[in-house]
Amino acid sequence: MAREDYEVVIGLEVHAELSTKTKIFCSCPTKFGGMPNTQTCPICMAMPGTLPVLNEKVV
Amino acid sequence: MKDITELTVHELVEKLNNKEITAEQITKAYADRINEKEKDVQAFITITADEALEKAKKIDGEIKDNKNIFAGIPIGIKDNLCTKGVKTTCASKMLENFVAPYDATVVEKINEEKMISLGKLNMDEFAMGSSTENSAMKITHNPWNLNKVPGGSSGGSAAAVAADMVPWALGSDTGGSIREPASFCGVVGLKPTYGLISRYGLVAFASSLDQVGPITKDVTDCAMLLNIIAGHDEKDSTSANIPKVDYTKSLKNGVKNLKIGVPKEFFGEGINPEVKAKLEEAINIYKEMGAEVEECSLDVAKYALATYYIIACAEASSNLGRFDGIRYGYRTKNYTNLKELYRNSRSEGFGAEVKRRIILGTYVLSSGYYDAYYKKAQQVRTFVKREFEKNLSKYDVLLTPVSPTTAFDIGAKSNNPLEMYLADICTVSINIAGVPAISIPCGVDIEGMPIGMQLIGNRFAEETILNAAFAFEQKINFRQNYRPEFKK
Repeated sequence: MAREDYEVVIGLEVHAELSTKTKIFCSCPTKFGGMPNTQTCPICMAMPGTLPVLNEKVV
Repeated sequence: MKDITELTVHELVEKLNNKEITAEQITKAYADRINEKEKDVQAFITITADEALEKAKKIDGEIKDNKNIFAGIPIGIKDNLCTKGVKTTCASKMLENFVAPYDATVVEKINEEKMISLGKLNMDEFAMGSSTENSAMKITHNPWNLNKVPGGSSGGSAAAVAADMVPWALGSDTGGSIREPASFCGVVGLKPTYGLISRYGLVAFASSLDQVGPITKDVTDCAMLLNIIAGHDEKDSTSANIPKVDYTKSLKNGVKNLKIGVPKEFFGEGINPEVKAKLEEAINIYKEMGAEVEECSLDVAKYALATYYIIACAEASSNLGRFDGIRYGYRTKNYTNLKELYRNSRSEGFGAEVKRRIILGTYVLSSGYYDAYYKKAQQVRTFVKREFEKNLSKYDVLLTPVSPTTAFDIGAKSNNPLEMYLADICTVSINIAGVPAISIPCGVDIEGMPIGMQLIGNRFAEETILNAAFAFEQKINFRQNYRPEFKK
């Protein structure tokens, strides 16, 4: 394909670190440096049956 | 004396608390009954009778405080409610070995009461169906006639209660999945108001319609189980924060001057004449008891089925996106790259009806069709809600059939999805409106199959419909007059 046949499509995925004590959809801590698999729960894992609850501080 | 398994839960509770029987005796009686009947009925996906007996012995050994009057009462749980340490399959190959690391909120509540689970009950795969024939595990048979379906999707729960294999059970209802099987199996089933009961731990099918509810032998048991499972849960943002009510308190108020509306559209074309005749008898019984019965109109009901299948499928296609073979559930052995892993896991893991609904749902949400289908369906939904509100401001209760027919033969509709969808025609509009409705038996047809009556109430007016159902139940004594015969 020639250069002029390409159409430019730009998408931005913005990663903003939350300044909250807990995650956005559950009550797991956001502390840095913990042991692997200690700051997770069925909600973070999107386990069947779980429901997210929005962190009030984020809104 | 009646067999233990023939007793209702309120009878069991009385005997248990008077120390006439022990939790172990109750659990043993049910374990024996399951042993005897399961080969014919096939209601369970997982049986936990051995663990149940251990728990029962432990409970008998503890000194009982009066707080836990249900301690030692067994229960059955539909297999789409998560139970820590016991498989939750949703009757799907996709989750056939899935063990949740947590309990659903309603399961936590029954555990707090020290109730004892006898196992997990069969259903249509991911609660999609009206006959339990869509289960990837087994076909459940109707205890009244083993050649017929138990209804669905909570068919295992309704059949197990009808067959006295559990004293009561939990089900879920997205478009009739508690009420239709309750009707087909001659038991009581309640779809509570959307928001009354936490959905945390209920594997989602269509989140704006799903609701957990009780399936029981009589209306008193229904009110008692509702007492246990109702209530606000901060883990479910759609659960309502309203004051707690004791639903057993209002049961004996009678129906004098109760205003009952009978929407004529539910008695029109397609309804079996025997079902219609029994409901007309029921209407007369209410009149004799002093209720004011009047014909009314719910014209929008005819759009409800199409609206329901658009909204439910759209939400299902989104909710079931998580089953990709990566974190949990079935994973194909047949893949060479990530895309194949996703595609083949889903193709092999889901059954035909689930795939049909995912495809329908993806279609109605796709650009170009969204406005024509999904957006329109949401507008009709508002319209249906308003019509219900209008009628329920005029009447205390609306009375309709639960299903146009009684239980049909196994295999009769399994190759015709559209005909199967029509089994839900009297129940789906209630989920769309978010109001509560109860199904109670009101008689049997010429083949001896139960006929169900549906009583619909205003949002959070469970007390009103339970009271109306109780008055009728006292009058016709269905359980004393008719028992399942396990006809072959």
